[in-house]
Amino acid sequence: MSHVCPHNVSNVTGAAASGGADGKKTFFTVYVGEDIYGLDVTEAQAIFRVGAITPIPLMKKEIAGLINLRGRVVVAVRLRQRLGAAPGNAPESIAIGFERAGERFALLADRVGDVLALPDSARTALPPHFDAAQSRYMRELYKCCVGLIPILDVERLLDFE
Amino acid sequence: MDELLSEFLSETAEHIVGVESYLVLFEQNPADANALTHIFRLLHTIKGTCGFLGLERLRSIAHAAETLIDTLRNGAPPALPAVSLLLQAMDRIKQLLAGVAEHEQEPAGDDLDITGKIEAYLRGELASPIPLPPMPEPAASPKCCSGRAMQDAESLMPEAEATPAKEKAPDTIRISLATIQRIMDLVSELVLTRNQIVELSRQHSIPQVKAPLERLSTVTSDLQDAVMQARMQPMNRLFASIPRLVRELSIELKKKFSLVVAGADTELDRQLIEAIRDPIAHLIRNCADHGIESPEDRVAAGKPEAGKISISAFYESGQVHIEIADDGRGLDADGIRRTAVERGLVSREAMANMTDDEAYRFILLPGFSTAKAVTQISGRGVGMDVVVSSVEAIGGAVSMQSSRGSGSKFVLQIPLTLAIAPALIVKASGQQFAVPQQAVIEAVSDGGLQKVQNALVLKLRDEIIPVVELATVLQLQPPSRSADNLVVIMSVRGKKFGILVDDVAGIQEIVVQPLGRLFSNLKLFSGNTILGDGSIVLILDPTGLAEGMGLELTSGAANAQEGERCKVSHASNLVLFKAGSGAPKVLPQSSILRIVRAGANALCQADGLHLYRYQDRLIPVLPIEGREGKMDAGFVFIITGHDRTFGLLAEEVLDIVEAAVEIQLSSNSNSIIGTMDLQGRAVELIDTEHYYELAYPAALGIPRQGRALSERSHQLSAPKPIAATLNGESQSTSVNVQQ
Repeated sequence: MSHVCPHNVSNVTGAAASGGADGKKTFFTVYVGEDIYGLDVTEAQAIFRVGAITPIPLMKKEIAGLINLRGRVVVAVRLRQRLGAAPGNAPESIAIGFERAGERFALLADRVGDVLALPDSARTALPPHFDAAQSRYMRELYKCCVGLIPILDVERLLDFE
Repeated sequence: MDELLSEFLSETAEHIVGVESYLVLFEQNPADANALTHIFRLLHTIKGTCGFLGLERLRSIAHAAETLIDTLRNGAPPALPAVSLLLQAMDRIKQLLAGVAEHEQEPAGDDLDITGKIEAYLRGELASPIPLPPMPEPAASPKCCSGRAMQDAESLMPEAEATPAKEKAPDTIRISLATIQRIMDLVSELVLTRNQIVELSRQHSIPQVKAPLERLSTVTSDLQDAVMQARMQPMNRLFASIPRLVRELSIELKKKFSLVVAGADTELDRQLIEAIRDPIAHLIRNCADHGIESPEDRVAAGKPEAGKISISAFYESGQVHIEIADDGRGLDADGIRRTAVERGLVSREAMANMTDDEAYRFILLPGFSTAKAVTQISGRGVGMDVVVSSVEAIGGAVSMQSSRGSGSKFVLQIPLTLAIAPALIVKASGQQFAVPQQAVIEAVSDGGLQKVQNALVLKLRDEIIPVVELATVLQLQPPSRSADNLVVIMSVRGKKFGILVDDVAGIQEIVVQPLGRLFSNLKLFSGNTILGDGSIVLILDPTGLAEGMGLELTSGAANAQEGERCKVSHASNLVLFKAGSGAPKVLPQSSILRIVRAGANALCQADGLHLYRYQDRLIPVLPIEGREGKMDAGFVFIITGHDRTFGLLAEEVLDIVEAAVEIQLSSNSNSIIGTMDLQGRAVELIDTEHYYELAYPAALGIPRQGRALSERSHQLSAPKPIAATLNGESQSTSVNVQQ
């Protein structure tokens, strides 16, 4: 198990190579409030600290606004609101960058946790009694030392249609 | 698609345009051997490439066309049918090319209809393949040439192949638009990064960095210019297709035209050239159909038989101007006036004060046409508004000039490029927004701002301009209103409006980037940009703002309504009075029979109505909307209409002013016709009809006040004019009131 220092702006695509070969998948964990979620490292393009966000008036609350990431405009999506949680006290500090259909998005989280390499055998399906509004954005669950970690479905999180 | 094939498609499309314009040249001047040589060469190249790619249908048409050209080259008398046949062949080639572009192969079928006609023509069997105006001279037998032509065509091949290479003097490569776009994006990023470094070095001032930074700065600017240059293309891309269009119009309208094209080498962003293609074609059709008279009329007017259509492109003040002019009859200002009044777009009075230039603006409205006959080409009243909106969509503008009897001129002003534009950076609730400068007229202090009918209006010089607070429209946190707020006045399609902002931070050249698909529903924003300090700002869309305010941009409906309501009153003397806390109100003096000062005990209440005893009768009195508190002393305006009399209660009569009734903003409220400008004040014009309906709800049925009233009011139908005397220059009068 390796650790990612949340203060580093790190490109995680390199780490992805280590996963997969021995039937393990690599995830990094993010915290939304006290809740922990996993994201597949192969899907993410970058993790970066949130700088200035330009809010977009008249947009739904899940859209925090636009971030300038090295000259590129990124649409920032609040994970917290997207997952139906109550707004937090402090603004999110970490963003995970994705590209979808040629457009750039970033999911805003409170902090980044460990990177986990988890075997296929640790995977379980979502239990049916999960809240539908939340489980809509979860792909599966993984068992690990810290308990069950829901893996987020980025495709759905970024689909606003 | 296969690279070879896509290159063939774009190349051939250009060749076809070339062939068409040379054909028209040749037709105008059959002695022009040079034109024929060009056509032959272009056709030959098309034929060669088609054969190479195995496009058999295309090859056979090109071959037939080439053979026909060759007979002409060899001295066969030129004739209109030949040119028409060749143009038909070009059309078919274009159709086939479209098919190839779609399916990467030729559509099934054959082209014997065209090649057969050409062969028949060559045999001399086909004098006139399509019904056309009489030929200048009957085609003499070109039969004798056809056999030789074939041989000649073959023997000419080497020469024909050698020459196109010679023509391509400047070395060129074809680059896909996507590649150029990618380079543009990268340069844009470079510009932004440069701006950030410049900003940083200004803050920290490191002397060693200064010189290299300056070099970086100039190189970046040069690179930007160079890449912009790469997107530029000569206007000839568009102009080359005009001769053929004019030729077809000439045949269809049975008029003669001479076409003058200038400035075809003026360069413009390729995307913009494509955007103005249809507007320009439309303007040319208008010139040909409406502008230029029939040959007989022209001769009678002492003009040359052929109408002149001229198109020119040139640079002026950082823009490309494209002028489309004709020497025809000019716009019919009277006809436009008549139609505008008939359609209720403007009152007769207002129209009388309009200059011809102002009247011309009506033709830019949708559905406005003075044409008596709808032709195939134009006159259905669709078009000019589309021309205006497509030009405005790319940040351009349309203007026109016309003089009766000697022609009209339309000028399109087009920005050089879409990608970089100057913008005003404004602040609302602490957030910055960019406003495209092309829409901005001026920024003024909010001193003249008034609240009327719960909406903001700005009195600026002689205009009343609707204003919205940007923070309110965008639902931002309410701003802390300081004293020095600004109103940015914009104009969209001739309609002015303003946005109230906290501050204007400056003007910057911005690189416009589109917003993502996620934001396609946001009509108020057209894109975003990164400023020099690295911050992202949203670009406001003036059209979206105007539409959001309810300004009618696309239809004349609101104007029509306004015009009609205007016509209700023809008064020039207006009684200005106060009722309630809102803006002062006015009523035309002619609609008021008498103004009476009423004490508190003069009003009584019965049957749910307030009543006033007027000349031994009781008449209903209504408070003017907006008036607060209970009905007590005030001024009663005695108003008659539809044989009934009623009263309106106002607080105070302020003045009587002579002014034209020109509603500038129509109202949503029933009780108010609209807001108008009266000697620098925004005032509300009261709708007496509304109060009449309130006073007599059963207007068509039994009168509330019984027959006696209606009889009495009948006697009063010739009202005594209000007792008033004009008081010198101020044109105000004092009002005599009855106690």
